[in-house]
Amino acid sequence: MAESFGQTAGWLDLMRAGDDTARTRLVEHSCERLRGLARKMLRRYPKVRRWEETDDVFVEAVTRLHRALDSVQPESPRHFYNLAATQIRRVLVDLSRRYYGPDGLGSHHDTVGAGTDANAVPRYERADPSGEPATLAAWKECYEQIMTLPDEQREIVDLLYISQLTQEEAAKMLGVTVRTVRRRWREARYRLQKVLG
Amino acid sequence: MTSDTEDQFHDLLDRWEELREQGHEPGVEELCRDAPHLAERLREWTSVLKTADWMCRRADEIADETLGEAGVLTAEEKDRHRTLGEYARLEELGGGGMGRVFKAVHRKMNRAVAVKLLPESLVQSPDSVERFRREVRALARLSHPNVVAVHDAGEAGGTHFYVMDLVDGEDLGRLVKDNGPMPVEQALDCLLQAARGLEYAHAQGVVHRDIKPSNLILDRDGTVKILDLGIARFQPLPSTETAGEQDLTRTGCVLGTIDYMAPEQAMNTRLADHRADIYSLGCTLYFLLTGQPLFDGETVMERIVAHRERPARSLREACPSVPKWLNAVFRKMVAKRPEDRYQSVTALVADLAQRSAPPSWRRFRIVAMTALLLAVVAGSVWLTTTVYRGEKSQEPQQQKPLELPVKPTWRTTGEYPLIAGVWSIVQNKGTLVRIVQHGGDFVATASYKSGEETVSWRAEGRISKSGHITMRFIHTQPHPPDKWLPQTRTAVLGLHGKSLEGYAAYEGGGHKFTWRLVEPRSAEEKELPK
Repeated sequence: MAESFGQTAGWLDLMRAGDDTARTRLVEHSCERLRGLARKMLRRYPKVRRWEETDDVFVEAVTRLHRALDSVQPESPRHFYNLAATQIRRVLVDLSRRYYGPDGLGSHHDTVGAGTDANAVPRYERADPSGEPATLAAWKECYEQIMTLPDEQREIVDLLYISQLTQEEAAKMLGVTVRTVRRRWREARYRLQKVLG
Repeated sequence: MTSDTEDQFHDLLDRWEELREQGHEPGVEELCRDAPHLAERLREWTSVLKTADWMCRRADEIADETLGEAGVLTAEEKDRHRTLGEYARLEELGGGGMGRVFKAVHRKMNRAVAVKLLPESLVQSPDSVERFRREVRALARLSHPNVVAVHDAGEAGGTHFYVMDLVDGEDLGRLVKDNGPMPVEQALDCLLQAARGLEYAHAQGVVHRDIKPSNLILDRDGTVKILDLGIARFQPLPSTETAGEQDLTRTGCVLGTIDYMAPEQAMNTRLADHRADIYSLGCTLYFLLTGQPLFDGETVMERIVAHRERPARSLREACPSVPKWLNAVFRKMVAKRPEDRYQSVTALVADLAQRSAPPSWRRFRIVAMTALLLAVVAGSVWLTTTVYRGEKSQEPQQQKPLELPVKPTWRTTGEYPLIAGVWSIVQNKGTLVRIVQHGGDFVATASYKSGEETVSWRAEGRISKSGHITMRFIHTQPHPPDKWLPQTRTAVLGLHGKSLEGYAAYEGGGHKFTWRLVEPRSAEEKELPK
């Protein structure tokens, strides 16, 4: 997504001029990122991932984002990224809610080699020493916690983590120094990781 | 915790992250040697941040994991094709004889860079690997606004690479091909900037050996940066037989590009010294002004022979708007014998500045230097001596901007209120500048980090009704590495939307620059400078 940052501004201009193709490109752009994050979240759950990839979740996300862009005309790339990141986070929270737990859709799908508990880490996966969320519940918690961050930190997480901009691109968009971006990004990661444990 | 302590704490974390980015694992005790009171907190933060590394991973990497799990890519393939050590590879930017260049992102630090690879076909050649390593060593020593900075080098899965600044701009070869020959002023500006970068490289003992339009990139700020010192090597040391003295032509490589290559370099690379770069720069100037190489010929050998034997064409014949003096400078740059050329880039820059300066400018310099001497004699430290010629009144509208070696081409808008306040100069690595305006006068103070040191400067100036600003830099502490700043006498700036475009003039030359100003957003930023 990072290399498309410059294109975003151009597409926004075209969209404001009434170009529907530009609108579609902007939505596709965000959906691609959503797909990456969803895969990351579900990669420990082969049985739901296999199922999810044929699900209509992305169609739903596309529809949702289209609707959001219909109702609000993004004034700037920054506005667009904020809007898109908010939508992506919401879809991911819904997705995790939909699959985890005894009543989650994933628990009714069987995959050879996986356990019976949809939230259990598959037996053959290596333990992960990083602080990355290990369960769908933890991912849901993570995305909800992002929403509670102070605005400046939340926006940095949205730009760097959700939208995958580089620090230089984020600094340019926000009109701050790269150093400031680094500091906010660090504070946000620290705060999030402390909460997530 | 006070704001100062908080800043100090985050400086330590900056340092910790930088070292990790370079592949080190710095100890807290070492980092906190001068600030032991911060050690406990730093230990706790670094421990949490290490656990939070997963947030810094890129989509590409995640996609690879997914592919890997699906059995599409093996772990080895992922490493080979998508990542280079700590870097995730993105789109290809271009290639040269000695390596392909990719845009890449440092996976932990989320920083966009350019990565240059040694082609796999050459990995087996010890000469190529050695030449590549030598290039990296040469580049890592260079730090100059007109030279692309190199940060890192490494080898991953058998691929050798180095990491440099990602420059947003176009190379001069492409610019001329797309837009036609440059106007004389623009070509002269590019020549001066490239010469300054070369002057610096030569001072560090590095000869480029492949100067050509496509190795000079003009970024969006109007700065020319020298790229691809792909065949640079250390100047031979007088007392030792180093690897840098190897005759590279012995391996069958005729290095450099024929259209821009000095006669002695085509014969034997070993014979080429810094004066070969001056020759190549002369050929580059010819191309910028005419859109054609200096010599044509159907075969490589014909062109090599032409560089050695055929007299250089007159620049004025191909481009009548070129002044006589510039044609003379060009002829001296492309002299066949190295001893007939400028003997250093410094001499070239000085000659350019002297010849291009209009008589009024030369007169001004004499007047200004005399005025400065008088001021010193009088014990005055007030250095805001007017920089306008013939000033009779304090009214700005009666003043004329100083004439400079290169005429600024911007149009002014007269939006005076724009410049007062504290601004962050976007293109200059976050330099903060405080501009205080009193009527038509203003004072600018700025501060920025250069390595470990904080560099500060102060400038005083005057705004004319036309929107031109004439300023002089009067303090720098300590002297910054940029050579032009401490010697700068005046700079003329034009307001251009939210940018100040300017031309700084000083002994021996000039320097064009653009400051795009944005308002700092945080209280932390607004504290600088007083």
